[in-house]
Amino acid sequence: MKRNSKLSTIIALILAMLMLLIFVGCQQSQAPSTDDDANGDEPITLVYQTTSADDVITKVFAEYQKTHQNVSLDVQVVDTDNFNTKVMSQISTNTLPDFFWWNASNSVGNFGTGALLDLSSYIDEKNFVEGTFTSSKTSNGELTLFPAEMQIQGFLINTRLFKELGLDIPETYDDLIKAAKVFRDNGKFLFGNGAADTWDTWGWYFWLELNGYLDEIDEIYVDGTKKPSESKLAETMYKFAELREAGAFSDSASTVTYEIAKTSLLAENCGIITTSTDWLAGILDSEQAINGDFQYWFGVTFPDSNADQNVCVKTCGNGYCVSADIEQAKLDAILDFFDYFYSQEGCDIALQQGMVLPVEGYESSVEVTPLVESIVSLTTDNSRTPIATVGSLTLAAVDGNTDIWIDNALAVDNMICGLIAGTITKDEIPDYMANYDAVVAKMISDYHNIVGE
Amino acid sequence: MHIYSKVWRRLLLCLPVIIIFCVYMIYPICNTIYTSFTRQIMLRPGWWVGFENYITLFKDEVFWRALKNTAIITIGTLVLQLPLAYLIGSFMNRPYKNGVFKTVTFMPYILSGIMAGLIWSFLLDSGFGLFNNILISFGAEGIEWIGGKTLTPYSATLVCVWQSVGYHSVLFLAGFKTMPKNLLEAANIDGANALQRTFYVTIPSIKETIKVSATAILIGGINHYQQTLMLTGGGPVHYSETLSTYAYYTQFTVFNFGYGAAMATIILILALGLSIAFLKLTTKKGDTA
Repeated sequence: MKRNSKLSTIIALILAMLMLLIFVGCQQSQAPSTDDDANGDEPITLVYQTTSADDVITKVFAEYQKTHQNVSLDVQVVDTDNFNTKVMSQISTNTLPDFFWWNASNSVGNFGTGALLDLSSYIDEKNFVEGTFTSSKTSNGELTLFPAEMQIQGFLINTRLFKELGLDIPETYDDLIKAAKVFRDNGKFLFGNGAADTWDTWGWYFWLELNGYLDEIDEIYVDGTKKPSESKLAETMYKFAELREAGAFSDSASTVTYEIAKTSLLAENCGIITTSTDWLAGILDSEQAINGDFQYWFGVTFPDSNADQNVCVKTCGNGYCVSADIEQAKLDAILDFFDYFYSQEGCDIALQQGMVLPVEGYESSVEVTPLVESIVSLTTDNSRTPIATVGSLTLAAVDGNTDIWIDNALAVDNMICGLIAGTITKDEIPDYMANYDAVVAKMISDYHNIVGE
Repeated sequence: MHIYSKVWRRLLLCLPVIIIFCVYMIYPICNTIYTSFTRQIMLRPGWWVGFENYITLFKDEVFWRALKNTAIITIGTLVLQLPLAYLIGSFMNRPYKNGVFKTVTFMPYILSGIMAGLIWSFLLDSGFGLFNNILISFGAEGIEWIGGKTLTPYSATLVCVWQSVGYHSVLFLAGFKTMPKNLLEAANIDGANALQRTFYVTIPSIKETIKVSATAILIGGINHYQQTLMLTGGGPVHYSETLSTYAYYTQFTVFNFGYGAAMATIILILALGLSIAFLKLTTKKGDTA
């Protein structure tokens, strides 16, 4: 009996030890690898994390590797929905890959954790198009990422469809209302975008800007001398409601995602979608794009507005962050790769994948569709005044302090989506604007508390 | 206490489970409760704000809307699912062959909530959905089953019932199988009709099964997430948020971890409190809960 009890005690001890070993093992497996001591031709493996196995970095890297055979890329793919959560956990547990794709607002928001490398000593801003780093630079001037594509925000329009319906390309807001009715009469709708994704609001923000909202940013968000409900923001909201009433959006807009909007455009159920130039996968190689039916368009102008109508929202909202814990040999390899990435050859490969890199003076030397060509010229065209997104400008109003800005961040997106979906009616706009007034007032007061004014 | 004593052995054998329970249950719960008292945006260090997140939460219109939607889904699934599962379970208990019926009824439960939501979004969408296309082909007006201001939580209830009724029917079937047959025979001899047999014999005999089933539905309803996420994502303008979708949105879209943690704590309190209250109310003195 005593022997049995000893035996079971020993088994219990072994089990407990095993358990501890498993936990210790888990901890050790998370530690960053230090196997590379690369110099010269020593093999180096760079760990790169992204949302797609076929992303541009992997394509450019394949070419780069032909002349740098000692450097290889270990691509870790994480699906888009879980990407931010995964990176955040990696930051918390100090297990970031060597470099990874990320959104600029997240890289700036999390730069304070010390997990990301400041790239300001490695990037010469003059080599890039004006405005490239507006979203990815911290208030202290640190650069949080290597820039990916320049996003130009506007609309994609099917010019042939307009012709077939006997319509000219709309120039004013009133033209849009008329076009909306013609599309409806023909069993189609003017705008494909819906409200299921709250982020595909690019062109609508562009309207806010053309309508003069940006000129009021300081009064609204810095001084607090003007309420949003008394600004051009409110005025533009009424325009969305009028468009909805005119039948410009699908009746089921509340469940229409950006992907559905794209499908509607390709199926020619709608004439226009608002989009950013980096979200055109599946459209760039479509029949309509090859035939030149699709054109990138800045939408209508607002003649009554005092704001400059010849502007363009250019922003580089994504890029490639580098882990702060990276070894020197790996960092050297990454820097060398990005030199190649932004070279003529690298830019051309990226362009063939549909990505226009914001490199100053870049001219394509590969054959592309008229649509892609127009995106290249828009990226490098300085005749339009480049402006940043409303999000980054309002964030700048509180010195990049996301802690107090966050409640304001998605409020306007939600209002626009509600109006498009018809969930918010014209009569309800004053209530929603009053709520937004309160959100902004709180943000300003919190900011003043922080800076001690 | 001697090292070879029974108590030590028992403790040692339980240690792996205790460690796993502490690391994966107790620590996250405690951490969430602590975070709910801080202002923490993204991964920067948070600071203590006391009850501020809770005060903001109780003033938040969307939170109350999410609570209302969650209540509709929880009560709706309870009211529909229990009697439906009882009926299906009793049908399964019939002496003739019904293997296909059992399989078909149980099959939706094998699907994930995401898949169920996706399938139903193709049926319920007001634009391309099958239901509306049928209505329109008969000359009727389409209905905004999902995505409008009101119907989404009711549609989500329907999806939940469709998905889980098979599972609860099997629970009821197990209850029926363990029922002493002589009780029903005795009731028959005593001249009890079908309704009397149901209310005075069958239901009291499977009371424990009903309690287990109802508690699972209650907790599932309060934590309801996947189906609504797939149907509408909580939109438009947060009209169809449930407590869990709104907590997820706050934590992983806005990255306001403190506020999201406050919401998660409320969900925990609700699920725990309502389950305990339900079990207390349905357990008579002397019964084993």
